[in-house]
Amino acid sequence: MQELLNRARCVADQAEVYKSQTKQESVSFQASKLKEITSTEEEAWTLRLIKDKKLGAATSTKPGATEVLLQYATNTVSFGSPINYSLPGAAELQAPRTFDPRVTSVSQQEMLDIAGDLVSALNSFDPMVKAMAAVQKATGSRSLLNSAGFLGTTEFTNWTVYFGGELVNDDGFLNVYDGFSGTDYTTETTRLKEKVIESFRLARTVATIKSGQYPVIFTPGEVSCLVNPLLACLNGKAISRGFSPFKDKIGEQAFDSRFSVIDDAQVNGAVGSKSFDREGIATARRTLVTSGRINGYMLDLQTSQELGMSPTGNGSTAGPVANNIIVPGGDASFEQMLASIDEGVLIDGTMGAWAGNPYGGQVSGNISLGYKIEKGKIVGRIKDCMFSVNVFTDLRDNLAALSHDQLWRGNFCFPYIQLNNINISTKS
Amino acid sequence: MIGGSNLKELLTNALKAAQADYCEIRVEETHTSLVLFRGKNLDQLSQTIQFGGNVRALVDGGWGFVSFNSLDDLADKVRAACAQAKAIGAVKREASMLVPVPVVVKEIKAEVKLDPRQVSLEDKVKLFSGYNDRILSFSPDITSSQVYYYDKYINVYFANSEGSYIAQEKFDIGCNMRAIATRDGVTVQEGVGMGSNNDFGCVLNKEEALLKVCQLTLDLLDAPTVKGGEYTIILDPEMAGLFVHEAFGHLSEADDITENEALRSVMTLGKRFGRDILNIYDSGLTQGNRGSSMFDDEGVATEKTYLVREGVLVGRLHSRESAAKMNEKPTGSARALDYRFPPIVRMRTTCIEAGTSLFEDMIKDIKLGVYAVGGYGGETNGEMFTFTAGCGYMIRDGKIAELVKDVTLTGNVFTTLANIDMIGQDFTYENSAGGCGKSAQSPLATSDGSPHIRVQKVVIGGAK
Repeated sequence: MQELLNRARCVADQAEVYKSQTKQESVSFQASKLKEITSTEEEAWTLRLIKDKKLGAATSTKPGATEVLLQYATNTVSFGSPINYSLPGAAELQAPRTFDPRVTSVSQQEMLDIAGDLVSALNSFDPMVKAMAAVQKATGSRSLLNSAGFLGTTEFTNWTVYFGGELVNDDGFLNVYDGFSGTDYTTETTRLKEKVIESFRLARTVATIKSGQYPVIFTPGEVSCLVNPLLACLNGKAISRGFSPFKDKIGEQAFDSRFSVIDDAQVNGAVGSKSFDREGIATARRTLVTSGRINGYMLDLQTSQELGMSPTGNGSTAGPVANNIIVPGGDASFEQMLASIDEGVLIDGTMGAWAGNPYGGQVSGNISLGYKIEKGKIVGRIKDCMFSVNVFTDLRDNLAALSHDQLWRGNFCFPYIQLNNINISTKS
Repeated sequence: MIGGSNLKELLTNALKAAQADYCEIRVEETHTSLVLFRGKNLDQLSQTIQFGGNVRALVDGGWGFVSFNSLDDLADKVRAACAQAKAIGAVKREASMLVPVPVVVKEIKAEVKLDPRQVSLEDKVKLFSGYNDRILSFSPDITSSQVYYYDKYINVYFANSEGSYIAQEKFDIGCNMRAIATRDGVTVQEGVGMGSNNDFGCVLNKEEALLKVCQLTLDLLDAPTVKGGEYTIILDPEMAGLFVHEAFGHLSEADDITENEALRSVMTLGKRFGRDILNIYDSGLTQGNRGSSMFDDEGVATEKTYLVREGVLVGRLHSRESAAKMNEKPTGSARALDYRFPPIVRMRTTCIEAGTSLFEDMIKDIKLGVYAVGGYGGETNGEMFTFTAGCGYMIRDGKIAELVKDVTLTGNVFTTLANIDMIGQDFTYENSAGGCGKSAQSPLATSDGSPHIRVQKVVIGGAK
């Protein structure tokens, strides 16, 4: 890396070399049968150059392609993106736990056993369900070196278990999938197993609902539908380009005072954890929304410079990105939420909710897995329904409750959220 | 540049180490240039070389797959993939099934019109900078923009244990341009997309299209959110293309059908899915559109595959394995995102064939409906689909009325197909810089095509 950096410095004012190495192995079952074993090895180098306040970049996965990498980066720097910042120097880093040696030593047979156990559990519940399960382990490292003196290396592991199934019968199609991912090894799959099987059990009864406004509970996995547009609006790029409605709104009460959003790269064992971001900025736990007030944005070197603020450890090569996003829980239990609803909907799967304009706050999607709640109880699966939420107004005016239970899914950790007066559209 | 007889020899020799019912090696080198403007700034300018390969092996019905960046010790990688396949095969103990296809030894040059490599990076930056300036200078209410462009120059080398060796040169070009307007805390956006597998010309002369996008974006600032409910809708060709891809294309991918008896019975050939006017096909031969190529990633020649003819299911998309298991003919539909992934059954260019209706005839008897225009994106779970239009117009008493925003449609695939009651004459292909996602392989280059279509009873989610 040092050699490439030295050569790069001869042609540029500032330079940065990033190297990532990943080894990955996975086993998978499909349609209730063992399907395949795969293994992947990848090494990628990225070189960024700054010359005359312009930024150029090149990436290569080709072994020994240093010359082409230098040439490509040099090509781009002469008319690259105008920038006005300097690369950061050495920093004091706090390292969360991102590596678990147990992941590296898991055998292929253990992975096959974990996946096989999930598939047979679902098959014994209902042999008509075509089960799928995948278990994946990965290990690797990320290193960043720049001409200002920053040098950081992180070793990481990743352990992912994904499980679900598809049922096709006279009632139609039912897909249920769930999974978890972290840097630590675990054989604890009971909760995952039970949740998937419980979903198939609940969906056996079909319920109907009329178009109208209802109290709606989003499961932790589906709260991302509500939070993703907020993250788009809290992204430094949307702020500095002026199209985020949260521009110049720091300190303003935008949401219900029980609602907060935290970006925390320092959580031990979480997939989004890191001691430094892709640009060499130390990470920290940062509150983006506190008690309903806008408290901060996700900023990289470029956007922080444009806004006259400090970078937040959310840098990537493509603008600010979230590390781990946490919505703190409230004081309700999921059971209490259910019990409070006379007629409403539980949403546990959505389709297409990502497809709208995030800066408008309007989120609409098909409820691919949802249940009708009647008199505090789940009475059956609903189909052919859409939900429609405006996250700006509904998280301000219609937040009924947050559960104290939270669940990690990927780099998101969310509680159940109940919103009132949510529009459900269905066939007339 | 790699390739030539050395690589052929390297791959062919390494395959000799295979102890499997079937084994293949695929090596790819892709050079990408990317230009991204966001707002007034050039946000990203980069060039990338993606190089790597994989070995895929089949033993007793089980697959092993190994991917890598370095071609060193290739025979060891062949042995590793075979060992993985054997471990699965030992449990499965099934016959390995692959439909027989001709052994092909061929080197294919891309039939390029305007080669993106002949346009300097500087000229590309100038072109897209010019487009970006047009968007930003259109009106003070247009507060930001996004102009995204990439081109890929791809060489794929494929060899298998049956003696095939195919070297294919390909291009993939995509561009999306978007205007973003903000007024009084309301932000709206509209865009236009383009793409090609052989012509940089697809991104030239877009000034007029941009003016339309900018005007529509401004108009959307004042447009109300559509009122949720069930409507008769007319989809423009872009939305109809998105619909046929999401709602029917994915369902026609046979790898999901092969192992699922219940789904097989839903998708029995000969079953009626629509009215006589409905014809749907997927083609790898629509040269110029993203996703078309002569051979798929299993070395199978591509073709035009009819899925629905006169309303009746007549075909589906296959890999060699799914075709063998269903005793049907291969369609050249096994595609991989890149060397890091095994090929799975995917679409290429998915189309609703032109019909006979005129737009004015489609609209004239609709009392209250929605004309959905442009597509943000969509998703399906097989039976249900949902997708979001760029915008829509209310149809009132047979006439186009006010502009509405946040138009998201949902429905049951089978009911909706049966409810297509008019198909226009005005067929067009649609390409953009997006792509299709399946099994973590996203975005894969695909395109679609359709005329205007009319559908009865579609649920639209919207305002209270």
